[in-house]
This record gives sequence, structure tokens and C-alpha cells, in this order.
Amino acid sequence: MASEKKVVFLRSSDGEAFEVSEEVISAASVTIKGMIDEESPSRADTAATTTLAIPNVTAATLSRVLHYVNKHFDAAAVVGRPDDYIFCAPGDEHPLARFDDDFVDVDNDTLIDLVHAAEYLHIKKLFDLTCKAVADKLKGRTIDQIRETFGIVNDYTVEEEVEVYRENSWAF
Amino acid sequence: MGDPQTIFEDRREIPTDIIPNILLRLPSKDFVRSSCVCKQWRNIVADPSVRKLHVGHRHAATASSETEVLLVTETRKLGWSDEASVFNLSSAKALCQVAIPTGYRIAGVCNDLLCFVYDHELAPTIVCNPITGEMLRLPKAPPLPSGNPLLSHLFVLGFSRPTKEYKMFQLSFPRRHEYPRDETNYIAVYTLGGGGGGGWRQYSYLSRFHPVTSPAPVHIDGNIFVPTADLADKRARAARMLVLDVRTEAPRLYRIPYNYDDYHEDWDQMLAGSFDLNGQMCLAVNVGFFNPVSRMKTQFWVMKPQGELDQGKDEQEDDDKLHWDLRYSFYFDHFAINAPRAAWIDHTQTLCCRIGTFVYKYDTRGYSSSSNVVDSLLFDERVAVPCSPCPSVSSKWPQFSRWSICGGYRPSLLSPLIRDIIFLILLFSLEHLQRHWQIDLHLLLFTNSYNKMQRIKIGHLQGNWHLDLANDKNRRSPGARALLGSNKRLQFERTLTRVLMELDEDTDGI
Repeated sequence: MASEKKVVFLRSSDGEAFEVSEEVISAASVTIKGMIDEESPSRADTAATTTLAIPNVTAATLSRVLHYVNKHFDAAAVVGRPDDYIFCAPGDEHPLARFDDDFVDVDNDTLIDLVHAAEYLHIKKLFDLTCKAVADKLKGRTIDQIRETFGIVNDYTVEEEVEVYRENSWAF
Repeated sequence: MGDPQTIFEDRREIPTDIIPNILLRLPSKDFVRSSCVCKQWRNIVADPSVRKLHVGHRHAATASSETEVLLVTETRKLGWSDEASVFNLSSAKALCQVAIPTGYRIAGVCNDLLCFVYDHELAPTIVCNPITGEMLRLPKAPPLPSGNPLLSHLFVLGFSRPTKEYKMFQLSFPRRHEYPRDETNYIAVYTLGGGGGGGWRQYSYLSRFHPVTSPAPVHIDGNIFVPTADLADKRARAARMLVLDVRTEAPRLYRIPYNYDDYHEDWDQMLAGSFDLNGQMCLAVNVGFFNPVSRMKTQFWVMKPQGELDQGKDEQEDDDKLHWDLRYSFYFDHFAINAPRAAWIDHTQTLCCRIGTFVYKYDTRGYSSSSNVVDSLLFDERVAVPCSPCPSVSSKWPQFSRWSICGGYRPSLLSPLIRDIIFLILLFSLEHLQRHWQIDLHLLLFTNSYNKMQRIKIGHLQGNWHLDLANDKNRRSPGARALLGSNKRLQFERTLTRVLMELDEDTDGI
């Protein structure tokens, strides 16, 4: 019964395969856990490893995601850690806080790819982390800077824009 | 993916379904401001379910966020209902103007909510979010067990971060001059949003120390601080600090950082004020007159963070566990005992101190608490302010107004109608029945998430009824009026439409 270090392979959208411990990735990603459970009956008695296609995630992003997953979900490393560390007070810093900070210290495109991947793979912690990181990039910016940073086109007419500014004037 | 707003080919667009998740992690101001980015973002920010999640995130981060200072003005004009207008002193922005019942005054700020009360009576308190203008009138506290003496009342709103609950506290105690020996104090607690079993819960406890009516109680990060005086002290001088833990609702007494015996024996009131000074409990203590030109020396004591306020063994035990730091000592040249007071620190690190019609300013940047505090300072600036922002011009039209300063404000879009019934609407459906109009009265109950709604027919009126809605304008609840106000109306209607589509999921709980 006790399966010894089963691994699965994840194939990125551009065809690269990554090896990851089944236990770790199942703990991290709801999506992959679902895929593995679906596969299980067919491979219960074969020794063959599974390869799962992750069509929405590129190799570059997937390798980052797996880096994160191995840090955070490897059972040996996660014992006794509070779950909601995202909201830890600044004083009681989480051991992985530094890793997390560095992890999301990337350019916008990479970050958004990560948000996307975290959402697709259902890795809640990573999703929270990356969303927070994007939010931090928006914080304190002017409207024009936000549009510029994320390439958003202003679709307001002049009148509408005046109106929406007026409506929310307390926040400026 | 074919979103017209993100067509820069070299940039990743933020996936549409993810945008709310990002925005709701922003501080309140950035969150609201982002509705100016584009229409899609505006809709997200306006979405009540996103707003609700946003409030949850803000509360989780409340401790670290900075507090702001509000100026609240209450105005009464003959023939009009009272009005309260709220102005954010920290950002110099007007927040809202709401109608309040006559005679109500601001009792305090608790994070994102204001609390209006009516003095001396068991009148219902009102809770208001100054950003959205939404108001909630809490139910009246039930009468205390019969046979009680005449009581004074104090109201204060508190927030318990671990349980994410707002609680209204009503402190009731016998009037000192009429019942000099009655040690009974009462606490009634109401959890907003129906927590704690719903409705008011009442406790009583015995104590020689009764709350004083001035300075008012202050809420800071899960604790309510109420200055109290010894029953035996005829002059009702604040001598102990009653601390109510919002989560456990337990009252505890602590010492305060001064002793009357050390100063003038005939000193009537040393405690000149208690405030939220940038998120910290602060006491202003008058320690004496100094010549020449009678100057009042006032000390500002700041309490160390409440984290150190650990649970003692006994509820009523006097305790030295509050740690006070003497932060500043300053001189005033004006001494008015009953004048409204407030203190706050502005963005230039200037300590501003209001006493009646003066605001004193002290630059605190050069002030070092480690330096010799005896070497106190005279104020840097004294500003005379009008006691009323709109002085009455003619005695024919009596007008009344006052203003107060409240610290400890942390903006959020929280609806005060948390999980509670959000508002009630009477639907009048008219049917022409032969010669009579029949008016069906339906009650629409909305819950905060807008995803539950009930529609109950509560009766009908028959006959020649004339509904003059225009005349009814002043009688409609301020909350409903604010919601139906000009630009909110569209949003409201849109929501209403959506709610109507999801109707009839929930029919119990009336």
C-alpha cells in the first residue's frame, strides 16, 4: 500500500515535462489531484508513471510553480506551520516569507502568468500570494500608471470619467 | 479573451476572472480609486459580493493599517432634520452628509463605522459608514430589570478582530448624586449582524468605580477604555480605567498614570481627555497651573500596545498591567473644564489639541521622550476656531451646530448592515378593484450579500388611500434615502434586478 515516492510528470503547453512527487503536488494542487484520482484506477497495478498534460501553462511558469510547490508543500518542511501566514503580523515573520517575497519579485508578465497558473492548478496559497503581489503593484499608483502598467485602455468617455472621479472623489 | 480593453500584444492581460481577486486585496482607497481605470473595473468595485470580501481582507489587515482623523459636524436648522457631515481631516476630503434624528450626536468611531447616539435616554443608537452613507439603527436595548434607580448611559462601539464582530456596548450606572452607594453597573451588548445569539445581552456587575460621562469612552483595537471614578469621591474624578474586552465582554479595572494625592488636593478633574492618538490610547492629564500668566501644564500619556494587556485572574481586580508612557508635556494658556476636547497628530507630526474654540499645535518632531520631560514646551501655534462651522445669521431661524474630532478611523466599504437585514422596502402594488384602490404592502428584506431576499406580503390597505411620497421624504429612513440617492440609484436598481432573478431561495427567518 505505502507507495514509495510516486512521481508524476507534468507536461507544459510547450511540451517540456517536469517531474514532481505525487504526494506533494496532490497536496498543493486541487486540479492535479483530481487528474491523478481520475487516472488512478487505470494504473493501480502498473508501475508506469503518469504524465499529465497542463495545456495552459508554459514551461517557464510551470518550473516556477513547481519550485514554489516543493518549498511549501513538501511534507518534511511544512510541519507545524500556520496556514494563514499571508496575514501574519509583520513582527512574527513566517519562515518562508522571505522566499515568498523573492518569488513574486518578478516582472508583471511573469507574475500574471503565475496568477493564471495558480488559478488553473487551484493552488490557493500561491494564488493568494500572487494576487497580493499584483495588488501591491497597483497600490498607491495613479490611474494612468495602472493603465500603463497593465496595458488597460481607458474606455470611459470624458463625461463618464468626470462622473466616476466625482463619485469616488473621497479616495483621491 | 477578446476583451477590448487589453489589446497590447506584448503584455499579458490580467485574466478577467482574476481581477476581482486582485482588487479586493487593495487598501480601501486604492480599491475605490481603481474603479476609474475602466468600466470593467468599475463594475467589479461596485459588486456587493466583491465589496464584502474586500471588507474581510481589510479587517484581517486592520491592525497594521494607519488610522485617520475625522471631523464630524452636526447641524440643526429649523424645519429640517438634523444633519451630520463627515470630513476626513487626514485626506482633506468630504465624506458624506447624512440625516440623523434630532438630538443625536457622534459618540465615536470604530474602525470604519461611526456611532451616533442620543444622550441620556435609552434611544436606539445609529451606526453609519461615512463612505457609503449607509446607516443602521440598532434596536433599543431592553429595559433593565425593574426596580432600578435612575441610570446614566454611555454607548460605545467596538470591534473584535478574532471574531470579526462589531459590538455595541451600552454602559448603564446609577446617577452618582442620587444613589451615592449603589455599586451596580450594567453592560448591555449588541452584536451587529446578529451574532452572539442576536439581540441585546445584559450583564451586571458590582464595582466601587463607576464610569464618568466625560471624557467619553474610546475604542482601540478590541478594547474599550472607560474612565471611571470612585463612588466615594463626591467630585467624580476619573481615577481608574475600566477596560472592556470586546471579544469576551469582560470588564476589568486598571490604574491610570497619575494620582490625585501627588497634585492639588482640590483638583477637580485631572483627566482632561482620552483619545485615539494614531491607534494608541492616549490620556491628556492636567497636572497644574504655572505662573506667570496662568498656564496649564498637560501631560499626554500613551498606553503601550494592547498586546501586553493579558488576562488577569480576577475580573474585578485592580491591576497595574496597563503600561503608560509619558509621551509629551505641553503648556496651554487656556483652561476650560467642560469644553469639548480632542487630540490628534497630523501628517506633519504636529500634535493638534482642541480645547473648546481653540486648536493648539505642537511640533513633536524635535520632541524626544527620553529627554527631560520636565523641560516642557509652550505651544507653537494657537488657532481660534469657530465653535460652529455655520454660525446662525439670524435669530429668527434658530440654528444649532457643533463639531467634534474623532481619531481611529480606518476607511472600508463595510456596510453597517452586516449580515443583518440590509434594508426594508415597502412595495406598494396598486390594484384597481372596482371602485377602490387596493394597496398591497410587501416587505422586501435584503441581506448584506444581496444574495438573499425575501418578499412577504404583510397586508393591504383598502379604500381611498392617498400616498404622498413627496411629503414622506423626511420620514424615510436616512439609510434608505442614501441608498436611493442620485447616483446610487442605478446601482441599486441593477442589484435589485439581479436579486429578483435569484428570488425565493430563502423564506424563513422572519
